[in-house]
Amino acid sequence: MRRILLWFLLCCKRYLKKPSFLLLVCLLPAVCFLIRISEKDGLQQVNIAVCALGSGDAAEKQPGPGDTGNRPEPGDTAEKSPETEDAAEKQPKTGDAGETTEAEPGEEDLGTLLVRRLVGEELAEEDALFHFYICGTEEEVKAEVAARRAECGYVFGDDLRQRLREHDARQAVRVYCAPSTVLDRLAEEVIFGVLAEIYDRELFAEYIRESGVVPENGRETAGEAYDRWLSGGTVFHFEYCYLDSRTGEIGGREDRSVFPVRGLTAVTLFLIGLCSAVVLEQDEKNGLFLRLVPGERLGCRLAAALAPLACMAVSCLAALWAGGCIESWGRELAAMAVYLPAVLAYGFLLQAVFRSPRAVSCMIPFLVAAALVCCPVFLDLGRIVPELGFLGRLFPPFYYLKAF
Amino acid sequence: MGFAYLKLELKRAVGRLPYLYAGAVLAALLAVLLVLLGSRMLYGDTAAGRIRVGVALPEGDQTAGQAVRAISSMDSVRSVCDFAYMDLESGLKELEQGTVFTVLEVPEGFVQDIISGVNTPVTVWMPRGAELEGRLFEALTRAGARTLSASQAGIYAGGELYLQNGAGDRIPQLEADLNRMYLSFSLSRLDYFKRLTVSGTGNLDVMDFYRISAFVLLLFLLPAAAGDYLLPCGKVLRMKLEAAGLKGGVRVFSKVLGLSFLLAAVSLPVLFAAAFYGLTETPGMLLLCGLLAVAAVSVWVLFCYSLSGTLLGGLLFLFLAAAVQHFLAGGFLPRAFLPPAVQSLGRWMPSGILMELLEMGMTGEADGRAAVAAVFLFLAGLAACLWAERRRA
Repeated sequence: MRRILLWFLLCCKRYLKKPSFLLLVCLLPAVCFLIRISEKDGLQQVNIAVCALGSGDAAEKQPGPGDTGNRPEPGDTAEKSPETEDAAEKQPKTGDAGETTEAEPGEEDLGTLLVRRLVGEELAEEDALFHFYICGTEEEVKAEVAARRAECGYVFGDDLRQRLREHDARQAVRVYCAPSTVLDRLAEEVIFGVLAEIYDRELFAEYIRESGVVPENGRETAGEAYDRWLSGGTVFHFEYCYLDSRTGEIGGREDRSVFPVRGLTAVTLFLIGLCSAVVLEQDEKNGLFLRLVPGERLGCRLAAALAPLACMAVSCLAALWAGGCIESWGRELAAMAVYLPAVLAYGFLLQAVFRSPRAVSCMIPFLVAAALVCCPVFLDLGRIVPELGFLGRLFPPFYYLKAF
Repeated sequence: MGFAYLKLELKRAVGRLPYLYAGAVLAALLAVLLVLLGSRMLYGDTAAGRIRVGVALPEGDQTAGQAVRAISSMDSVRSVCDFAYMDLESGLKELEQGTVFTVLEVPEGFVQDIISGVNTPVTVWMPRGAELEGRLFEALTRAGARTLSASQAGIYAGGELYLQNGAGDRIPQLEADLNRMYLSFSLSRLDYFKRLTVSGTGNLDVMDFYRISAFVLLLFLLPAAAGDYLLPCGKVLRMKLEAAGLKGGVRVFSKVLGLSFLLAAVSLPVLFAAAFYGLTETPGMLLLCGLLAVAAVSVWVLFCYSLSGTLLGGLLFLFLAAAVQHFLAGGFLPRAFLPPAVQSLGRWMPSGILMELLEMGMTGEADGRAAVAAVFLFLAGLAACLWAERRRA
């Protein structure tokens, strides 16, 4: 037993004394830590550029070469530009029925009203997914999207209200997307929700006015009554509950980093497990274990195979800690104690099946790519495509990730 | 002598070609499987690709069931979700197992509450650990709830105003008129938007973007199948080669050429296939960009192995470097979800530069920045390899 332990420590030393391996051991926790601190407090928001052509000021504004206008600088999504803040201040919150200074519907361009509401909405919803910001011209919106500073951009024409009234609003709003844009449909639903609040109010006020039921100098205008009902909290809404499958606890959403620290560590250890089997085969061919007595040979082989895994496991635990993913050290250590032998056994199984280190080496790119796609490393695609979830079950990282 | 050494390196590289092809065939099988699944998602009649939503209806409430079934039959809902009706306990169990994406718990008296204005909320159950998907789903459902509540506010306010002004008998007409107007406005909401694509390099759709991303990632990972070829020379061999006049630069250049040959042998058929199936209108430019991408990948892969000096270290370094920088470049998750500082950094990652280069090849629109960046990437990698080789000496 002592010899096996000594063999294990010597094998660890064999890897750790190489500066490059030591660098790798330190690299993963360092990268996780840097990415974690690069994410601001609070939630990551997606930038959406909006422009209302009907706004006189907005239509005349032309950004200069060095003028960022209302564009968010990289790393600056939480800050508001002066025009945005000004627009937000002017925008009354729903529910301020007796204090509104909003221009009456019909006097102000619908697109401008919509843009102001979108930009001002952020103040009310701190966990909003989208961050809308104003662009002066349509060309600016296109430039923002092309440069990928915005996920997509929306341009509202100055005839939006008229076209809606005439039921001729097909393709009235231009949506600029980049090839890699994926959230445009979702952004449209969000924008339409805000538009519905504005335009439904106008339709309602006009209907009441035309009905003649409510006197014009009554206690409350139709618009004020609408605002009161909308903000009163008694209209339809959803409540969201997040269920922890392990503990059965119910709570709100916990917003974690999108950088897949745990997924990456799982696949890294999986890769090391595969390589350990290959390296062990080569060590055996080089006669590394010949001098050992037969009774100790198996233990020393396992120790040699486990050594790089153990070194990287320490690095991965440090990465999980640096990434803020550790809730319970006991659980982490227990999971690691099960996962390491599992990946090693997987490597040995492949070695036994294919009987050639070269063949296993050929499979490594495929296995790693498949693990990255089929296991819930970035997203749990198995929830959308069940077949992917089934494929994921063929790889050890799937079970490790599902345990958390 | 240098030319003879180059020929020997190429001969060594050719010996590794079957292993690289084996790895590429497996990767192609994976790609075909994903394409098939993707096609089912887009064009199939089954639930694949649509999220499965569990719906827990109150027992005996047929009105609620009819209302939910009416919602589920709408085209916009049907294209995204498949509703599965179950009790809450089974639903939460399936949620834990991952067989449903979410569970909607419809409260007792759902329809009556809407009519009366009480509006007991519908509870949406989501699994912990699916925070990104949860955030997206929340945004979608909040938007839908907002649209509905905007209509409700008008109907409730109108009813209240009519009652206050003694026109209670006209409320049904009010409700019918407002419902008609609001439904007419909101049902055709998707038609209001006209989608236009803008890009720095031309028109590509999301599928093409992720095809390029997958191609670049596999270019980085495939050399692992020929890991022993990539290892630097042993000390004795290095001394003998230097004694024969083959300095570090010649050795590095020969190895780069060998690895480039291997990767080109695997990637050229893919590029030809892309041209054959009409994915690009400029096959010549795509091939040129592909070859430049292969050369750039070769130098950086070689650098990883040269720096580490061992098979395991090289593979680990390659995987971590490839995976992390590919993630930062937006190759896995859309860039929109990445922190802003990372988004701007991602464009300068090797994967980001190579993806832009291949986008240029696909669209045929010359982008000087992409080409210059790729050439610079290659030269920087070559310099790094030379430095690593000199360090070993």
